[in-house]
Order: sequence, then structure tokens, then C-alpha cells
Amino acid sequence: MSIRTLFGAALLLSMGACDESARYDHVNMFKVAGDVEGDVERGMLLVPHGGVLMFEAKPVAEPGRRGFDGLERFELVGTQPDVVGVRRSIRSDAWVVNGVRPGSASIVVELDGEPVDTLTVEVTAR
Amino acid sequence: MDPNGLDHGPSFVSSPRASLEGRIILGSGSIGLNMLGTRWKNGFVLVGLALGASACPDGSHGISNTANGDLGYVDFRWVCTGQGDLACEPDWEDEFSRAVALGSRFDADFLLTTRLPSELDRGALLLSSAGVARSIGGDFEALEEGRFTLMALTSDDAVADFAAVEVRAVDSLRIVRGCSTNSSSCGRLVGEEQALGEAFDVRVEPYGGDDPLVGDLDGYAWESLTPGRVEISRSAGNGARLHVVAPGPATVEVRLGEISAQLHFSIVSNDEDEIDPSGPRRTRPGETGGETEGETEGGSTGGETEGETETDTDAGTGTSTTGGME
Repeated sequence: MSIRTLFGAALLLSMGACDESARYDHVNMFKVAGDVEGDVERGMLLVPHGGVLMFEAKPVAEPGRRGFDGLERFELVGTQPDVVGVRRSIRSDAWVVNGVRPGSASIVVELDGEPVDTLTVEVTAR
Repeated sequence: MDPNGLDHGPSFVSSPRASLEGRIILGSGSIGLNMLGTRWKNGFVLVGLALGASACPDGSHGISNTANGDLGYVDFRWVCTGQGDLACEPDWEDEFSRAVALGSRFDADFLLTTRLPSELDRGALLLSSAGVARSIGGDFEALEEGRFTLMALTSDDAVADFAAVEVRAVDSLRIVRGCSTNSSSCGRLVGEEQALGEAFDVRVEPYGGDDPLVGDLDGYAWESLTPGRVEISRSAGNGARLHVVAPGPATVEVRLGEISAQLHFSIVSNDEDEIDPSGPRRTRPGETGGETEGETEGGSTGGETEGETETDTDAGTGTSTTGGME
């Protein structure tokens, strides 16, 4: 192995080590307000039929990488409006889901317009 | 503290993400304050201060100083939908019952409160669920017992606040004074004694459990069970006008489907003094008694419509005037 090859390999390794841009790992959520029967449990959203759950959601970067700085566009997009509604709240980082009818639905997590994750919402019967 | 100098309590624009989107401060704009230069920022601050200074906190521009939403940002109100709706009654203007009558049509509205930045505009009102209630012809219809949530949106479809409401079946009726002839006696219990020759208005209030139910219900049927003593000259929606024509015990009944309530009172001669027109204040189930406030329908001028004297003697406890359930 020549010195030139070794130098190139070291350069590539050092470039990789310096790549600290945030990479999505998961979304951190906790309940803020809403129906007493609504909750966030192990990354899943629970909301009763006819009720609402207001929760705060922030993207979390992979360990060892720089965290998100808030300049990215973070969106939660509902895919089954006949089961659950998803809307942003007027409060910072807060979202509201409402149980339209009992069942399960998914919410797509988007960062800067790219889908990066899927959340599950369970609308429970009263 | 935002650029308007308003203290919002919870953060609306504290995070860079919210600032980037500019949803609160810049309305629907998608350019964030963080992306603007200092000079532009200062400009927006000045504009914001000017707007804040010109904002009217007295509600004259659709802003409320009070809130009944769960987050404290919105003041929900029921909107009158018909003659059988408690929301149409003058004494119900500031009431916000969390219960709606099953089978009724109802409507609601909301005002943003002064806790919110004045740049926020009111948007749509949504119901959280399908099944329990549905939108129909600009109003809503309560389809089945259960719970739904009123959701107040801003003009850019963000949720400003919400309030849970129950749909309940009517399980009892109460008869109280109506409002059309004298608003001061609105909602008060009808006195145990009524003076001969009087005419007065009554209305029925539907209850589900301990709570009065809003919403327009059709099908109230009024009947005098003592037609020789009290006559019903007209009835519409939840109200009726009673004419007291002969002395003695009298009973009026109102029915809604299988549910009914009766109003019992005695008709006494006009010769008696000390007639109290108003009856005790409105009471809710579980409350006892009622105070007498000594107001006289027709006022101190003695003027009266249709040549009738509208008086109503004090009921004392008022317990016998709410209508016994059958």
C-alpha cells in the first residue's frame, strides 16, 4: 500500500468523522392537553373517539450526531382523515389529533418534505 | 414577550422552527424572522407594536376577554338555531353548557381572546368526530349519545383551542318563566300563586342529568289540564303564553315525546296586596329555594301590554313549581 493510498484512506475517514449533520432517529412526543383518555405511549398516540390529544413533538437526531437546530421543516401528515385528524396547534411544536371514528391510522413524519418515519394513532371507542 | 409586547404565557414563537414559519407573527407568510435581516426585523417589530397598540381588547372587534376553551385562548358560544333552543334565550347569552340534546340541531361560534396575538385571525369551527354529531345545512345535528369536541381553528387551520361537549338524551323537563314579556324574570321559577287576570310567558328547559341541554328540539306540546282556569293563548318552540282566567288550583303540562312536566299553581283574586311578580330566581336540580327580587312586570309606570296585568306571587321555596315528572 503506497503512502498515497494510505493518505487517501485517512482523508476519507476524517471526512466521514466530520460529517456531523443531523440525521433523523425518532420523534420525541409528550402529552400537553386534551381528553383524559388520550395519551402518548411508547411512541404511539392514543385518542378516544370524539376526543382530542394535544402533544408536543420534536425530531431527535441519531446519537453521536449534531441535533436538529429547528430550521428544518417538521410536519406530521395524517393519511386517514376518516379515522383521525391531524393539525398543528398555535403553540410552538404542538400538534392536535382528534378521533373521528374508532380504528387505527398512521401519521407520516416529514422533515424538509421527505418522509422519515410513520407514527401510529389508535382511536379508541368510549 | 413577542414583538407586540404581549405576554402570551405559553410560547407561540419561542422556537426557531415556529419563527421560521412565521405562522403566528406573520400570519400566513412562510418567511421567518430568523431569515430576515436586523433592519427588517425591527420593521416588523414596529409594525407589530403599532398593531398591538390599535387592538381593541373590549370585544368590539370580535375579541373576548373571557375564555371557556380548555387552553384558555377561545371563548366558545352557542348560537341560536330555532325557537326550541335554549341558546336563543336572552338569559343564556353568556352560558356555555357542555351538553347538547340528543336529536337537536345546534350551532356554535367562538371568539379569540386577548391572550392571543392580535394578528391571529379566526378560522373555522370543527367537530372532532363523525357519528355523534354531523354538519347539516350550516348547523349541526346531535345524532347519538356520546362525546365530541368543538375545535376552534385560526385562519391558517391551526388549532387555537377546544372544548369537549356531551350529547345526552333529554330525561327531564323544567318549566320556568319565559323572556318575551319581561327579561328580568327570565328563567325564574313560576310563583305558586298567580293573580286572576294575568298573562305570562313560560318556557320549558330540557335536562340531561343535572345539566340543561342546548339545541333546538321540535315537538314540545303544551296543554292546560285545567282549561277553565288557565288558557294557553299561543305556544311556539319551547315557550307558551298562559292566561289566568278563573280562581283555583291550575295545572299546565308540557310534553316532549314520552317525557312531561307539570306546572302547578293557584290562581288568586286580584284583591290581594303584596304581589310579587318575578318569582324566585332560576334554580337547577338539587338547589333549593329561590330568592325574591320584587320586580314588577310592567314596571313602575304601571303600563302593561294587551291591557293585562302580569304579576306573579312569590313561590317561597319554588319546589312545587318546577313541574313534577310523570
